[in-house]
Amino acid sequence: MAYGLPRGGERIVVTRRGDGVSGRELVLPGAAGWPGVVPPGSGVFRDEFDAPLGGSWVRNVESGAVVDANTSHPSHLYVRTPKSGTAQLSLVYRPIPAYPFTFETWVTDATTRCGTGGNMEAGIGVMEAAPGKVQALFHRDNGSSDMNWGIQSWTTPTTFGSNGTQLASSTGFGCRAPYGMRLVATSTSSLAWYVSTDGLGWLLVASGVNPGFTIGNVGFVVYGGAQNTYTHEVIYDYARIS
Amino acid sequence: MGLLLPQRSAREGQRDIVLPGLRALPDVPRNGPWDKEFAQHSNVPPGYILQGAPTVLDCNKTVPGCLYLKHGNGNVRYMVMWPSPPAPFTVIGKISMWDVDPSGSNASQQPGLTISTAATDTTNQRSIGVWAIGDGTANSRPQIHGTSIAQNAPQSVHPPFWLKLVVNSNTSVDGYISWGGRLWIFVGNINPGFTVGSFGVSGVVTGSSPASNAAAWEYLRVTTP
Repeated sequence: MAYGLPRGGERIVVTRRGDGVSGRELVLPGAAGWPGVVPPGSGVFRDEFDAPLGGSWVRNVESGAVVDANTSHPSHLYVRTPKSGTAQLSLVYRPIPAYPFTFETWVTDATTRCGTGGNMEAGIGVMEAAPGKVQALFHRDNGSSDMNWGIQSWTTPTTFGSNGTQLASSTGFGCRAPYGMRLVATSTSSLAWYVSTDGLGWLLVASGVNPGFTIGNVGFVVYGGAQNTYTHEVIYDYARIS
Repeated sequence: MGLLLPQRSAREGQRDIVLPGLRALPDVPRNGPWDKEFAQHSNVPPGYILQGAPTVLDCNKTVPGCLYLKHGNGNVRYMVMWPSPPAPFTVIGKISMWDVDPSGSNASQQPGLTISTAATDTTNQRSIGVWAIGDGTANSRPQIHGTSIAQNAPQSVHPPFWLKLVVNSNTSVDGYISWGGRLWIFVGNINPGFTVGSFGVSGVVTGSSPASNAAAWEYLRVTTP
């Protein structure tokens, strides 16, 4: 669901999800801007997380992590990393469609924080067919005094590789939930990563990015920062692949 | 927030239109017996005790749907409190808007969710809160004040955000902050050192000009076991 009030004054029809009613429309004036509104038309794949996590999703998560949909938090995918002290990405992913494709999500809330001695990170990413290598766009602790947006590559889910483009919080986007993330994949060697704080305007983090491996999967990536003190919780409102 | 929808469904004629996830929206009022839903009031909800003197205090006026408090330069503290249930209880407050100017020398502005002694106690203004402060730098930080202060690292703090105090007992209170009202970031635990008797909101302005503190609270919600 949307996190805030609509910004425009136009009238649009809000798609009714799972209401079982046909031929009727619920019109909320100005709701066009809601990032949570399901767009018209059918995409290649869409999961609004209004039901338990479907079988098309693969979980490759840290031991002790919690992953569910429409359970811990209604209408959301929920990921919680444990206080394990383990440096491991938790991945929830599915095979990619044909190129080009767009993958978009909305992070409704997260406990990502800085100054913990670790680096909590939440985002979306692409992976090899059997991860394997991972490249992700993260909302992350920048290791000093605030959060930023950044691209990272991992050689395996437990082995950090390198940092890519990093946008400081001074970019002007407040670095905190809620926010949207979008991947536009033109080919396996050309990715564009975006972030948004309102679902309307999208800030390009980097384009023409070559992850350096053949992409097999796309999905969600959460890193607990190898924390012994805090869990890291993230809720995603939807996955839309079009 | 001005949009009030039922928790589960919007009735259209004789049919229900179900909006999945709507039930879990943190803004949906629950109308608990201790709750203060400021959109439902034309004045500050009755029974409050004002300590200190904000230059502006109104409800559903300056900021529609919100309790609004403001003070300009100075070194002041003010609180708007209501009687609370006895511990244990949890109180959540949402700040929808603020205007804090920490640019003055040593300026610090702290709108906070607060508990204190009995609301009628106007002499003891001991209180604790989860503060989001401007400290004269580019960053704010969540803090919880008791006889000591626990705080998180500086971080971009801007509305809307939620604050939560979990009053486990009269000697143990946990403070949290949330960006979305669903997941909570732990700030710290303190011993208030008094018998908790009230809850509300407060503001602190310190430092030289320019300094100001204005905050709009959308609601306060109290849950008991």
